[in-house]
Amino acid sequence: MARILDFFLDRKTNRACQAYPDAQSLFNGLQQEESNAIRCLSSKISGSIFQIGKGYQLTDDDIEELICDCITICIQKIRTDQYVFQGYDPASFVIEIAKNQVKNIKRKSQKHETSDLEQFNDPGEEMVAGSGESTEILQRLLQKLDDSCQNLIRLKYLEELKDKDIIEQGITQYTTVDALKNHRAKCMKKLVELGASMSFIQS
Amino acid sequence: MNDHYEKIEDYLEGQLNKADQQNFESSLKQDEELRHTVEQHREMTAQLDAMRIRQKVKSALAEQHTDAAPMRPTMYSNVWAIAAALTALAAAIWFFMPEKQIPDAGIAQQQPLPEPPTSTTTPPANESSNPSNTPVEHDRREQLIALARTNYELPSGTFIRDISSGGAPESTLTQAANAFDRRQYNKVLQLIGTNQEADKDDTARFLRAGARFQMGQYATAKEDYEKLADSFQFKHEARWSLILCYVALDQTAEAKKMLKAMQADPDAPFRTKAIALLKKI
Repeated sequence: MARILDFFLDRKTNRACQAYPDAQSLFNGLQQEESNAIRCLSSKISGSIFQIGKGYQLTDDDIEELICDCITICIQKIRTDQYVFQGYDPASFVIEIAKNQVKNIKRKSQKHETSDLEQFNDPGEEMVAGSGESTEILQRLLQKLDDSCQNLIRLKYLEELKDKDIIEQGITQYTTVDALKNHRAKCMKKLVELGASMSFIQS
Repeated sequence: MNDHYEKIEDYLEGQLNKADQQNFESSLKQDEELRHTVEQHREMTAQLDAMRIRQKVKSALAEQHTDAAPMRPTMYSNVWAIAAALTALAAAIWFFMPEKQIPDAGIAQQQPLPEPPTSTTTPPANESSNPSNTPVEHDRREQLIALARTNYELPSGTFIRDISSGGAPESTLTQAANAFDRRQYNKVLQLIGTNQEADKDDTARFLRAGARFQMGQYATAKEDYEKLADSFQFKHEARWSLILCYVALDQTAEAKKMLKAMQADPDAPFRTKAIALLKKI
């Protein structure tokens, strides 16, 4: 029923699936992080995840975040070869992720009263990379760095610019790749130390 | 260890030449602290990559929502929109049906339907239900509010994120934009509701107007949209939203006037919606 509603209400989204007629092509599209593949996957799973979320009394906003989290985790696992295509639709895999995630969400909401960064020091807490929660914490950690460091890390890791291109385009004050890498290494060291002190990563 | 730190990134990316890689791996075997640091770096890099992927997913899904459904504040709001429209239609048919003669069989005659209110005075700013409203007036008002809300278009996610990324992270406007993106409209108003800067800046005013509308503060949203009606950047959205404020406030005469103007303008971006809304009110 949920999938029928999705199809009825969101025809334009299902146009994104025209480029992915089978599970293999969708998997390949997700591996390449293609926007249409992401939209196609979203159209396939939204209804089911909505039902799962409502079963756990999640709000609509939480369910939208959950969908985003699950697709992110799926793509991550594809990129790190933790999820290898075996003939099944990626949508099925993502729905399984959602079932696990939603249990984690409920467990955490009962455990934590606050999301204050300074109080996040529970080493036993499972922080799923790419989830809304971990992204928010990482964002706050980055903001603790100076502007130059934030910029260097953002250019490489979030915008995936090559060092050579960064130097050629004169986006930073560095004129050589070595100087750029040298400074970025110091910035990453600070970020790692911050993350470890907050138990965001292993300390 | 300090010398090795600069090589960690290259090592993790497989960018070291053969000799350097062998040296590095030899150091890893002997230096536990270096091993630990490399693992931390690997973990942080994975988190950054996950953040990158998440931003891409959000962007793709946001474009999907913008293209497929201009207003999608909740997952199945379209279903509620259809239900609200049908309810409004049914109520309108019932409201304007001619009175039927009821045979006098000891049953009290039905009272004639009250005339729709013609007053154009602005309701109280807090939008709370007026105790002096009759149930019929209350229902009509609810239907008009539902009609206004189903036609309302939230500012696009891309626009909101542009505000967040364009300003300093701790600036009030950036915080307000982030709150708006998370649909924390109450927080948006706490940040810029009475902020004098928002009165001077069209972008902040537009954000505030959207938050006010979402919170049901149609009178104050109307004030903001009136001021934005001639804004270079926001005039079309502001004029459309102003019409919806008039509808929600039961100022249908003003709404119809603006709708007819839009209908007459072939280049008006909201012309199609205006024609549809004119039929409903």
